[in-house]
Formats: sequence, C-alpha cells, structure tokens
Amino acid sequence: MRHKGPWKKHVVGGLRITGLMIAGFLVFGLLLWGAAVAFSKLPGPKGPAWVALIVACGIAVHTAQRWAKALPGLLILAAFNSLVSAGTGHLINNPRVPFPREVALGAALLFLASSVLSAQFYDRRLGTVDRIALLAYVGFMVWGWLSKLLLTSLTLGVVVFVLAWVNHRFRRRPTTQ
Amino acid sequence: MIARRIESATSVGCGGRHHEPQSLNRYAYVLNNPTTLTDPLGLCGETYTTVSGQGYRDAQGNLHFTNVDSVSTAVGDPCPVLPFDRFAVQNWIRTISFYIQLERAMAAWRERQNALTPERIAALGLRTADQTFGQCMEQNASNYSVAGVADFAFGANGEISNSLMWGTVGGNQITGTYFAVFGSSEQSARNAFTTGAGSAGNVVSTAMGSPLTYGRRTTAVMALNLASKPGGPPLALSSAARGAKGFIGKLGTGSFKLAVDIGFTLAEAVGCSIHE
Repeated sequence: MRHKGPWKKHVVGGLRITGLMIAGFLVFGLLLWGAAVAFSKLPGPKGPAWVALIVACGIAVHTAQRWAKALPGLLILAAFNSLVSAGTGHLINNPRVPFPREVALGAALLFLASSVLSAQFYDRRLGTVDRIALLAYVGFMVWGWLSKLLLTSLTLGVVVFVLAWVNHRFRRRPTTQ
Repeated sequence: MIARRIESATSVGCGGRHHEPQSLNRYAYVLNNPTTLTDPLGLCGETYTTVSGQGYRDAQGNLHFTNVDSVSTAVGDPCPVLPFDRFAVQNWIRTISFYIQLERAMAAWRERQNALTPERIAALGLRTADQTFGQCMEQNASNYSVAGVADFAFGANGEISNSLMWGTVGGNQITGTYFAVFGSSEQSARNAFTTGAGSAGNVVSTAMGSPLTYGRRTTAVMALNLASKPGGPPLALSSAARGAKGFIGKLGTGSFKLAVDIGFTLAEAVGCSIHE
C-alpha cells in the first residue's frame, strides 16, 4: 500500500484545522446569537433562538475537550487587553468608549485568574463537572455582555473554575479505609 | 541685355526692435547678453527684406535692379528668451501638460471617492479626505477585530465590539497597543501613563510604568523563556523559567488570536492607506 506523501498530510491537516476553526466560530456565533435573542426584552419570536442556544450548548459540551485548550491563551490576551485599557481608560477595541480604570484593573486580575485556572483543563480528560464548569463560564461571559456586569460575571466564572478544580482534587484523592 | 524677374532677400539685424536697441545691432549675439541667453541653433529672430523686380546679375554675382516692383519685410522667429533651446522648451511644455493631465485625473478620482457616502467609506475601511491615518485606524478599530466580525455577522451595530466584555476578549491586541502607546485623538494614553488621571491613574502609572518600559518587560519575558538555554541568560532564572515555560506552553493557542489580529491590523492599514 502506498503511503500518503508528507505534503498531502500537511494539506489535509491544514484543511481539517481550518474547517474545525470555522465550525468553532459558527457554534460560538450560534451561542452568542441564541443568548442575545433569547434573553433580550425585545418583542418577537424567541423559539428559534432557544433552539439555537440549546443546540450550541450541546455541541459546546460535547467538544469541550478541544476548545478548552484554547481558553488559557485567549484569556491571558483578554487580561493583557484589560491592562492596556486600565492604562488608557478606554476600551482597547474602540478608544471612544470609556472604560473605568478600576473596573479594567479588576477585569485584568479576574481574566488572569481565569487563565491560570483554565490551564487545569489542558491536560486532563474532562469529566461531566468540568464540561459543565466550562459551559457555565462561557454562559457567565455572555451574561456579562448582556447585563454589562463585567466584574460580577467574571467573578462568578472564576468561582466556577475554582469549584471544578476543587472537585478534581477531591475526586483524585484516594479514599482511606 | 534681357531684364528678368529677380528677388533679393537680405538680413537686416537681429529682430530690429526699437525698444531693444541691441536688436538693431546686426553683429550682436543674443542681444549682447550671452551670460543669460543662448542661441545654439542660430534661430535668433531676424528681419528679412525681400525685393522683387527686374534687373540682372553681373559677373561677380551682384544683383542690379532696373525696375523695383515691391519691397516686403518679414520677421523670423523671435529670439529665445529662456536659456534653453527650442526642443528643451517643448519638452518642458510636454512634461508640464502631462502633469496637468495627471493632476486632473487624480482630482476626478478623488471627486468620485468623495461622492461615496460616509457609510460606504466606513464599510470599505477607506480614509476620508479630512482624516489622518491615525484617525482612520482609530475609527475602524472596532470593525477589524473578532468582536467586530461578530457585530457584522449579527448586524449588532457595535453592541458586541463596544461592550466591555467582548471588546476585551475579542478586541484587536495590535491596534489596542498602538493606541495605548501612541495615543489617539480621543485620548492620550501617553498622558494617562505619565501624569495619571486622578488617583486611579496614578496607581496604574505606578503599576505599569511608562510605555518606554514595555520593551524592557518584553525582553524580560523573552529572557525568562530562554533561561538555561545555550546563549540564553543563566541560570538564576532557570528554576523560575521552568514553571513559567510550562504555563506559557499552555498559552500557545492564544497565538492564533494574535495571528488573526495581525491580519486584521494589516488589512485595516491597507484600507487607511488607500485614500490620498
């Protein structure tokens, strides 16, 4: 049997990664859109949004082992963004939007803590509690966006990660008789 | 002797203009002003007098008129007034007319650009005529980010990219750092760093230092990563580096976000470079 050439493996691997990234963005978009429409106070049909939200959550829980590896990097960049915002007093993404320095500094600490805590999911095989914790963290981020309660939502996210860590430590400890 | 029709043409001086006395001098070269004028092709304007009539030419070739019908005077090319020959002047005229046409074409193109609605210019990420490069980059910073793409995808009109949560997570690190270090029209990050805006600003200033220290901090992080490597800094850092490197390894996935941000920033910079 003839083996595939290395270039073919690279091409196939690259396309696979690209496809997965696009799929990941689509699922994240579905989650964002579903949450925004489902929890908004605007009149209109919310059935499709709830369906999208449930489907997106299901996919997110099922694929958590993959996207959890990206969390530490993304969150450390968010912490860096918050530090820059604390320095400028404005949103990094739009200098016209003011960002209270105290809030930005607090967000930087919470994002940093989230990044460090989310690194626990990098190596280990995720259990049900871990997957729920990850979904809850994403849910708190969406809630922080909708409610504009940045620090509260991030604090709750950190608490969820701490609980997941405690749960892992507790379950890993051998029982004594 | 048979009289026949003959014509005589004689040159009578260079120009022969009364308001320029030197032009009446037949032997003066370029109006006796050779330091500023030249006439390399001998095209200095001359007055030609033509005599028509009947007469004969003698053995020496001289003309003798027995009856003069007409005497006419014609003025040749004027003396060159520029220190260039005719061809150089023509080239200058051609060059200038080319630039005039080019300028007209550019003006027409600029007019077409200005005819675009502000919404269309914003959508294209182009720079308007009254914007500086920095202002254009600032205006488009929200659009050229992950959060901005989410805005576009959901028709959210900035609700995602301008929120503190998604702006922080999905904001563009590259442009954000650019504004932080070099400031923007809305705020001056440099002033915020150096003078501080109130007590919070002073705390931040103390904690983060000035933008000038960023380079040192980056170098320190890199040094940490290279600690205990051949050629890297020794050794006192190596034990600390092991732990840091282990964590940094887990952050590798963040490089994808940085790559996306660099791509967005380049696209934005191209858009803001197009106009003018």
